[in-house]
Amino acid sequence: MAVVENAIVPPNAAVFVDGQAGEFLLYKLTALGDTPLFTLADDRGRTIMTSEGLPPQMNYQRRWPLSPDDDPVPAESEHAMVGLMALVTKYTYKVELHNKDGSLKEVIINSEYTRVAPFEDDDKFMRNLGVAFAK
Amino acid sequence: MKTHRRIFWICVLVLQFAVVVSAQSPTSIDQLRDQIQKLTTIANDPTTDPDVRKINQGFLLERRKQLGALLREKMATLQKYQSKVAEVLTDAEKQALAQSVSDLRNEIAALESGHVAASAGNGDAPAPSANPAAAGAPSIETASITRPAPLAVGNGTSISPGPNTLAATAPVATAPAATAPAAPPQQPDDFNNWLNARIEERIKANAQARIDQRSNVNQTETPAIANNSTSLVDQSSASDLVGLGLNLAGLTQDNNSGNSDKPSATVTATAYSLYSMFRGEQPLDPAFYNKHRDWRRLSFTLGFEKGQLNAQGQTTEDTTIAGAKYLIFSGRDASKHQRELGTVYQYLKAAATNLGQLTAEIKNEILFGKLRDRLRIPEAVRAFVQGKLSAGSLNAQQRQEFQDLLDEPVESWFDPAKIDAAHLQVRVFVRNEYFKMPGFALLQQALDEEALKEIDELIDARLDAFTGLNNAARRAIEQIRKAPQFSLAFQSRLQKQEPDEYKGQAIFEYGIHDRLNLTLNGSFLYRNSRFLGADTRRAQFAGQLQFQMTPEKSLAGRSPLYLFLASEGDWGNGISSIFKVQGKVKIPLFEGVDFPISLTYANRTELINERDVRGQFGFTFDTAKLLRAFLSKR
Repeated sequence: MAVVENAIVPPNAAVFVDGQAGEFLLYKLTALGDTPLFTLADDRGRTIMTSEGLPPQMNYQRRWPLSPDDDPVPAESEHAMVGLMALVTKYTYKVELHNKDGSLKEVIINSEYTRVAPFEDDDKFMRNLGVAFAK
Repeated sequence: MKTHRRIFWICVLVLQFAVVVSAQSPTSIDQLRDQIQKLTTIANDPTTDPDVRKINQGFLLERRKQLGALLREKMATLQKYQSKVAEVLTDAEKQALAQSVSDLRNEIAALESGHVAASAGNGDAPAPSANPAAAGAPSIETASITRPAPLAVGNGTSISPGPNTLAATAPVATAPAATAPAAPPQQPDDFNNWLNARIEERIKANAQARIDQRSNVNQTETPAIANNSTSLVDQSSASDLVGLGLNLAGLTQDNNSGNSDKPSATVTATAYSLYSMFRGEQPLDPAFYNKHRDWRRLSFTLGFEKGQLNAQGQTTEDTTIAGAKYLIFSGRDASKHQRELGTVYQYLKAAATNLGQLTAEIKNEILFGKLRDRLRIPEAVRAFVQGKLSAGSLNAQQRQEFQDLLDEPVESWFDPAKIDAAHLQVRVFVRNEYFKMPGFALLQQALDEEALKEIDELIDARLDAFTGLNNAARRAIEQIRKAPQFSLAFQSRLQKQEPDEYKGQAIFEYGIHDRLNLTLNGSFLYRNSRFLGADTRRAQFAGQLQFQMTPEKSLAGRSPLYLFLASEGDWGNGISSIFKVQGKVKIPLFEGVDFPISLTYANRTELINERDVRGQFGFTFDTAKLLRAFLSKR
């Protein structure tokens, strides 16, 4: 795997989201290159954010949960991001914890992913985050 | 002499140990810190005799154990005090007390992960650590400077560190600079990356050898119209941004002139690179890149051939090379391969889902299960909860939840059915403590062969999702790479003392197999002579097979090695037919810079009916790849 992660903030393995207080996560992905290919999915197989079906763009963003009744939100889940690097030069993956009023509470993950030689067609980055959501 | 010195040092150490032991009734925390610092200095001294180092190491470990026990005792006393007086202390006093506990906790964590000497004995704050769990992890000991070596575990077994464990046993701060290893990469040394690397290892262990290939059909060399180009054929597309080709010299003498070939240089830029620069846009923005893909169809080439002495002893002037190329059909746009990419997305989702499930399994079975007591997680959780209760920021319900949690059996703390905020926060706390540094170092040390085997079994059960993604990604990229391309090009060589040349060309490319690419050129060449009736018109047909000789991974930092076999037929009015064959090797120097070297045989030249063999070499620069290399190093 010829992909290097440059952690701007040391990535957390898990985050506690106080749903009672209206906290939420904001997933952000920035891509440079030809065609971003990524999917953020939970351990139940539900897609949270993906580049599939969208025209290629530089910035992708998804709030989670969209509402307290979203899906419904499990108390504990795993959110894993997998991004292919073959058609991309660089990804920046950021997860932010926000207060109810939208203000930033904490940066949970902020990492850059770039390819280094030797390149391979299946170069990818994978980062998982455990999410505990109190309702 | 060496033996005498060894005996002397051992005597000194034993004497020192005896003195310490005699004075140790009881040894204070400060004394132990001081002793550890002295023993660490000897351990880190590169001139220390190996036998002495071994004995010294034993003494050092013993001191650490003693210091750890005293620190834990002191911390327990402080925590007891903390819970007793929480009601009467001010916020500032509570904070000061919590800081003292935190400092002790950090020192214990640093002590047990080999960082202790950084602060021991000098009263400074210990190395930063937020690992309260280490407060109760006396069974795990590490050598102080064993970074590349297997980690010593309390039960006597050795664990080879995984590929991302460099910081786990980083040398102590007092180690001489000369012996300090190279700075670790910025890649976070955490459970996530460790697991990713382990998955890759399992894939390699289980899957067949991978096929490595990557597109390298974009032309960066000088066009074939240049006399001394290293290429007989031209390719259908240019570098995405700007390509620079240099031909420095010929390797053989020119039969016509007696001179060596002319140095030349060309710059090829796509209209896209100019357009993005004009618009001030980021050229690698995928939206801009794809929206304006048609601008990449058109590229321009401008260059020159250096003038030299000709056969008559006259200095010829420089020749200007100019041209343009338009990609009429591009089958290699990713947007045209939605079917292949659709399959990739299915596997992307499967891989993400399986990564989440795998992490949850390891968390539940290994961290919360098998290693829970060994890592002394219950003690860490109690310290965490005590900290929460004494911080004074909880409401009544939250306080009650945390109080209730402490009264429960430990097993229920990790019961997924318990989903109140206190249980959720405790489980998040434990994950962040042991899946990140510095706690991850302790987790790695605690992972014995049995635990690693169990993790591998969990990975293997889900390996299909990850190998499936790898295969789907490779297949999709291969399909994109092999798709046909067709372009039209126009090139000219403008010379003051010789006839100008104009060349119209059709170029077709197709990927025959994984590493085999076919390029065909059909050209019409018009030479506009200054003499009446001396114009020539020629038709040329050239074909080239490009073989990728090496997989990319065997040439770290560079492109693969390519072999080209080409032939060209040249028919025209007023001249005899010329046939050429060429062998070329493109040697990668480093990313974005290649060194093409070619040998060409011709049955005759334009002027002389005599066989001609010439060798050429040069350099090519691909700015898109250079930019990518630059970005990857930022």
